[in-house]
Amino acid sequence: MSKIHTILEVKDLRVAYAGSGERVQAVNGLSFGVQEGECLGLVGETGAGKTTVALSVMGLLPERTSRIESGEIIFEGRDLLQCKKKEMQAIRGEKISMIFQDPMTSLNPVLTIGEQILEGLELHNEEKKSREELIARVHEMLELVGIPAARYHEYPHQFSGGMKQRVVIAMALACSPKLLIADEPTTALDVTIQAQVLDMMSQLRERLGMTMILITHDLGIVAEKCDTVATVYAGEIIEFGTVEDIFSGEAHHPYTKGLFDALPSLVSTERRLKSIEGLMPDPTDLPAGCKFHPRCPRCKPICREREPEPVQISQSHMIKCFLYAQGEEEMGSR
Amino acid sequence: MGKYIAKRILWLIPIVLGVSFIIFSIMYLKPGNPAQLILGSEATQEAIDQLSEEMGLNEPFFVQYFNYMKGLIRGDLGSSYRNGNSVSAEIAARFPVTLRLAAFSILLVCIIGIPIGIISAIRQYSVIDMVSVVLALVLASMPSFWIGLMLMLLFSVQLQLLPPTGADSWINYILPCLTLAAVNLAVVTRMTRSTMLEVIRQDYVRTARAKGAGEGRVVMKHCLKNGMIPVLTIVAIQFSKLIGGAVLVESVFAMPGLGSLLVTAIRSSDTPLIMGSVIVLAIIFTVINLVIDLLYAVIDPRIRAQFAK
Repeated sequence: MSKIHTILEVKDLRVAYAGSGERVQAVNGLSFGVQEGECLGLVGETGAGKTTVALSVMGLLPERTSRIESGEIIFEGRDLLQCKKKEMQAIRGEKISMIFQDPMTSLNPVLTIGEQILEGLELHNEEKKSREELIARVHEMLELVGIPAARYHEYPHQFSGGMKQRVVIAMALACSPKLLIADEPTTALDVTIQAQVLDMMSQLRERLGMTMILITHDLGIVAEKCDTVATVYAGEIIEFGTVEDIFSGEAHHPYTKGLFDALPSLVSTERRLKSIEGLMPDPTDLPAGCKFHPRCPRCKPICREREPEPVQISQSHMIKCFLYAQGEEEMGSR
Repeated sequence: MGKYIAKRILWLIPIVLGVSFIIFSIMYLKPGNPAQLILGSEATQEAIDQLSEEMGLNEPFFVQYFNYMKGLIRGDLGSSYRNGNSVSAEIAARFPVTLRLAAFSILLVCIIGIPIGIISAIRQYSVIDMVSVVLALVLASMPSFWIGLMLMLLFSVQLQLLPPTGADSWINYILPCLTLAAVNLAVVTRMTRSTMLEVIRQDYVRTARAKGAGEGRVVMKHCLKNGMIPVLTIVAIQFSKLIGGAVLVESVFAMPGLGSLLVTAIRSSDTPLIMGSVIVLAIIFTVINLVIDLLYAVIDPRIRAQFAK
């Protein structure tokens, strides 16, 4: 690649949901960037705000209940949050595609899978191709994801879960998007199918030179498929780095460390898995200071008062924790 | 598919048997002698006894029922006690009026109710939604005969635009159809709204949006077909009800329909006429249900797949 360039940049994004008098702060000043061609993993517990970030990028947040309070989402030099409805429709599916969590419910039960893949192509048919050409492209996409093209006229209920997810992937990739957001694409599938689908996705990604954001809570998948990793906690990115930084680096945010400790290990002989004490903070009533401090084993007085600033450990590795803050090294080395 | 239809049509046999048996029992247990009814209160006991014998009214219950069913199988519904006319002829004369009335009003309900329901769902809590809720509530809480009378007062008496009664030309149908549509509109509008609201929140609708589909396309292509099954069910139930039970409106507008025929028959204990009308209605209901079930299959491939088995 000639020059690395940032395809998507999210800056200080804040999203809140308003429901029945409560205000749920789902995303709180979250920033990250994705370089062209790489795969970014967004890791975090359920409710950390990962899906909300994805939906914000897609412009698909529920209109009535959600509100983007601040921030910018720069895609190819344009702020998506300033785009009009029509402009977003032109970008969605064409330049940015999304694969949703549950393939069982992501397909329309009354339309054939062929029609559903075709739809995206028809919507973004700038070159005014004929219907036959588009259908040929659908056949090509089906073969690409390992479904015989003859199944074009079948309905979603005639497919198994794994096959449905392949259809969803074919649908997302039909227009050769620049950026693909995959929101837990394999969570709803059983383990053997997971591996198949993931391998297929990374092969296709390499072949099509696509940038990908992979949302998951499975660290194994991240280690295998991603180039960079962002750990999300309570709507913030608390650690960001390359896979090497996260998986073999020395310094870690206590939360990331907790996530790794919660994984079963083949080497150690411990009989019980460690878990992170406590629960995710209530998003309607977030703690002051560092949002992780009530659960943090290395919590200090300052953590309760002030929000930590991002600290660059190395050029690629960022941690948002007072343990590594400048001028307070004595605390970090303790 | 053909096998399924044949099976459903065969189901008509037990349905007709059951319905006829129940009605026949009720009429048999009812006090009062039909012979007396036919001859009037002035008749002598002798004449009544003679006619009872001729009509087979002295036979045991099951023999009477069997004789009636024998006639039914041959397509003979008997003749009315009151005027001796053939029951089939009476029904044939009344049925077209009722069918037209029911069909036009249900058409009106669909044309007005479904689009309003869809708009209410897309623009939930908007002014249109609020107005449609209130309007539906008001219309649904007014009794049909009262709406009928008010319409008649306005259009026939005050404005003198439309004829108040009769069934001679299509103009006569306007007011009764409007009345029936007004009464049934609320249910269809609310049903459409609630199913559409449910469908709009489905994951596959979000998928469609993620493909870049605009609002109109999302509604027309992805939501409508999925949301139509419950609406279709409600419309079918209403249509069946209109065919059998538009009595009030029929009598307000003096329309000679099936409903008013049945009511007169019941009032005068005219057993053959009651039996004939109810059996015909039962058959019509069954056929409507069959048609609706087939329409489900047209809409939803999952139901279609079950039929193919």
